[in-house]
Amino acid sequence: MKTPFSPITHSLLLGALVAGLAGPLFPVRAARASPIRYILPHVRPAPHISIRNLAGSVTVRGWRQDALRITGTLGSRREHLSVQNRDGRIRIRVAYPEYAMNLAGSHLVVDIPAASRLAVKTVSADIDASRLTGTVRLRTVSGNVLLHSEAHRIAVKTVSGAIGLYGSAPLARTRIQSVSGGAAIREIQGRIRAMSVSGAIHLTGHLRVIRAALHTTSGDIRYTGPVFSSGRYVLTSVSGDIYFRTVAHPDARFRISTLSGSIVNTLGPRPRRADQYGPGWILDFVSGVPHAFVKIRSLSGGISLQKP
Amino acid sequence: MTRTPDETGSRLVEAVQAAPRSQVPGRDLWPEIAGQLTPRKTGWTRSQPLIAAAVACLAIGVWLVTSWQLSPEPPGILGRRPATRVQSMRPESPSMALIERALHDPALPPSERAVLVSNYRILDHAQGAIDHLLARHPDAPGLGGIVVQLELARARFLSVVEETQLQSNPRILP
Repeated sequence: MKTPFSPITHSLLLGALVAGLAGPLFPVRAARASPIRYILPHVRPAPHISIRNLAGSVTVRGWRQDALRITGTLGSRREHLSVQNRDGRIRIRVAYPEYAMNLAGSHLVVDIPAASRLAVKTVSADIDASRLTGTVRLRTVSGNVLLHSEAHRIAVKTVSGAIGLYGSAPLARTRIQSVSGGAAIREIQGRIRAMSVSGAIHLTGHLRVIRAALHTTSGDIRYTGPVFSSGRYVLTSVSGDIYFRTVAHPDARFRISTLSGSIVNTLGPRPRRADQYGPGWILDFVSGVPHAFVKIRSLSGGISLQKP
Repeated sequence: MTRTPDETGSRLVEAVQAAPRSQVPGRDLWPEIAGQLTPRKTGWTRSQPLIAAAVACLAIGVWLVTSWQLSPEPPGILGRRPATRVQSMRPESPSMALIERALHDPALPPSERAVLVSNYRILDHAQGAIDHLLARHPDAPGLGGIVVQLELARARFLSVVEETQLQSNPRILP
């Protein structure tokens, strides 16, 4: 009987069938994840804690105990956990073999005193930190960052990872730096400085920000919140659009300018030409009593002032 | 009367000797013959200059390609100038030269390199837009603040690129 397959195809199909049936008899030995359980019973109330992990994830939770606990899993037997405690400084490292490729990644869950001074550094591992009240420094290349905290000093730096920031202490100082990762920031207080090249920066929620400096090159900026007495709000972008949405009658002085973009204002007067023969639009006005100051500037991005 | 073989042979000889040695045709046959002969080629024809021009163009093209391929300097990230030279619109921008060198590092993971290169192009494009605007409208208001912010963005970008280089090494992170 003539078949549609050539002899070579026949051989390949038969070999695949045999391999599939014999597979369970000779399983490939896969790298196993090793569970982690490590406890440091007595630490200072606000120790310096630094955590390093290349891939996988790092979850940090603040608690009320003066102890440190590490759980989770190591990606494979080739990775090992290193913990050093010296003079109140605790260093937690996941060590990888040199020239390691195709890393499985380790998943660390670290419980630390809530008032700790925390620094986490990863390459692709995601960072999830919560219930912290001390200082928090989170740095990653491509991992995502999620922070729920009442920290009084926050610094987050990513290249392409996304940033989600929720809450801060009153009068906190927050610094966000990203290249292309977007940042969504909610319910923070105090001062914030956020910079990005192409990532968007969104500030929303119950903001109590008295100083804001938001800068992008091509990413959009959205500020949705009130302006406070003695507050200073500076938003600049080269080509990204800027949306500033605040209360209907803010007490502030506004200085808005763009060189080749457009300005839309629902809070007051319309913009005017910066120069009779040159480019640019300017909008300079006072709303209510000028307790606060808002400066918005772009090269070619559009600017929109909106009521709620 | 019957003749002898000798008498027949001598008559034939006399007849052959008396036959004409040549005969002129009744009309001119040369025009028909000349029309069947192909003309002999002498000097330049119509297609030879075109062939010579094509050969010259080919030679010039080969010379241009080989001289480009033998150039020791590869194109930069932006494809405009060699990588060892500063690619900024402003020639004395050391940060751009450092960024270029870092982005050429083979140890940089491809995914990170792609993100950084794309954002590097955004910064360069922004710089170009500002330079263009400055050239046409040097007194444009509000440009100073934008220029300062872009310079700061470029400096921050450089530190990010170098940090990414360090962190991408699969060893214990310092």
